[in-house]
Amino acid sequence: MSLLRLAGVGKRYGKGEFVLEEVDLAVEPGRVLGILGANGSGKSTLLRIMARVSTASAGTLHGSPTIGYLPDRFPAGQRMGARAYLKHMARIGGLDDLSMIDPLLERLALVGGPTAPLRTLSKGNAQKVGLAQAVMARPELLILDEPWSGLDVSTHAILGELVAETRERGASVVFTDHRPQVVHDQADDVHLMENGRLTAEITEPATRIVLHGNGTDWSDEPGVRHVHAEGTRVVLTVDLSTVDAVLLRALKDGWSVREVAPWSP
Amino acid sequence: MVALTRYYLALLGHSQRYIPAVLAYLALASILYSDPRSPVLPLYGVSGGGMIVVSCWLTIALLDIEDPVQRLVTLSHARQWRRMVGGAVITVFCSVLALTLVTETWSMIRILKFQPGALGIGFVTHLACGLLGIAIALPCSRLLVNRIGWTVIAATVTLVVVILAKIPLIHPLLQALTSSRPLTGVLILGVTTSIAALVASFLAVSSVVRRRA
Repeated sequence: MSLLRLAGVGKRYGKGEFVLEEVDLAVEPGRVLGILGANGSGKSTLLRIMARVSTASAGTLHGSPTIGYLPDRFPAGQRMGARAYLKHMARIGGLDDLSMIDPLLERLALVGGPTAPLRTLSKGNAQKVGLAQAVMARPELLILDEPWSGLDVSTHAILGELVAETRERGASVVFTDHRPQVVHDQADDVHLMENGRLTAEITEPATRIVLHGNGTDWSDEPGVRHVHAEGTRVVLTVDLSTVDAVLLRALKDGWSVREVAPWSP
Repeated sequence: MVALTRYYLALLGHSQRYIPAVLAYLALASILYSDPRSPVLPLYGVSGGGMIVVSCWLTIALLDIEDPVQRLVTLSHARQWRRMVGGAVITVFCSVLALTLVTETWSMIRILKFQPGALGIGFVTHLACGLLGIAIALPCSRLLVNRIGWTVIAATVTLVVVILAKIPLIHPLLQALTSSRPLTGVLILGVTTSIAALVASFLAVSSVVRRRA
């Protein structure tokens, strides 16, 4: 039984274009799900819908787990202290026992201590408070939007521990990142988000080819998964088995090959 | 809802955005209730008008404190937009109640007469004015209007129209108080329309903000 299941979910703001289309996704208990995608691909919108802080324009959501949500940036601009803020959030969420707050802040090594006003915190320390408010209630589903961004290296390890602990107690984690390595290191299941669509997980390694030139329509070329063009520079993501054929065609068509490197999804 | 109200009260207190409006209102009250010989009901009419402005200011200030992204975090704990907006309404209403009690006590001390009927009318008038101010502020606030300039213009225009134009909301009550006309009918009208305006504003804003999120 899935904790949360999305069927045909889409999102548009006003009468604009859909920024999210036909997303089908099931979050199983005890799994860590990573969503990989470039900036602006629709990851944050998807996470907001999953966290129930945004309404889907199309499709349905099934399941209502308790949720801890961390946005991609935690804008702490208030004079309230970190501990006081977390106590308020815990009470609003219906928690009576607030004894976990101080140990959590200590574990995250919040600079300035628990009474530090939120507005005085650096971006990284504000993100720690954001992380604390998301995990303190031990939710059934932890939703983290680019959680590694802005955190220092020592906190990366603590975040990894928190994700592992969440999985061990049978709860699930959904997180996003734009770096393949980070997603693959942390996630049990990886999904790709591209132009508002969640594509099937691809585990087969690929090759990244950077070309310079013009003239060829690479989107129809067999084995080419993705094409990203910036002026005369084109970045291709190509299946490993077709790299030679693609390179041969590029050279025959007069392209200059600038870079060939392994790429993992 | 109690937890949300406590949070919003703390936010408002820390932000100090209540200070200009509350100080202005207290200054108005100190001028109005300085003469012990003045009849009290017309003064309630004027300070009631001031209460509409104060409650409108407090509502807009309160809903402007949280960054939209941080508001989403609060929403993830509160789970419903209606709870969020309801918490803000209750928070401002608590402030209105406190200011009303201050006004009533002040008027009683300065005028040196205990007039239960007049005090009751003043109490109900100030609360009705406070509710109407909240009702005006909700759709003008950052929940629906992104730029503070448009918020100020929308709220100012609405306040001027509601207080000064002869439309059957709070205007007939304030005018009856200041011109010593019969009060029963306009008091019932003022209270009823203020409550109705707040309920309508609350439901509409909660619904629109949820749909737009």
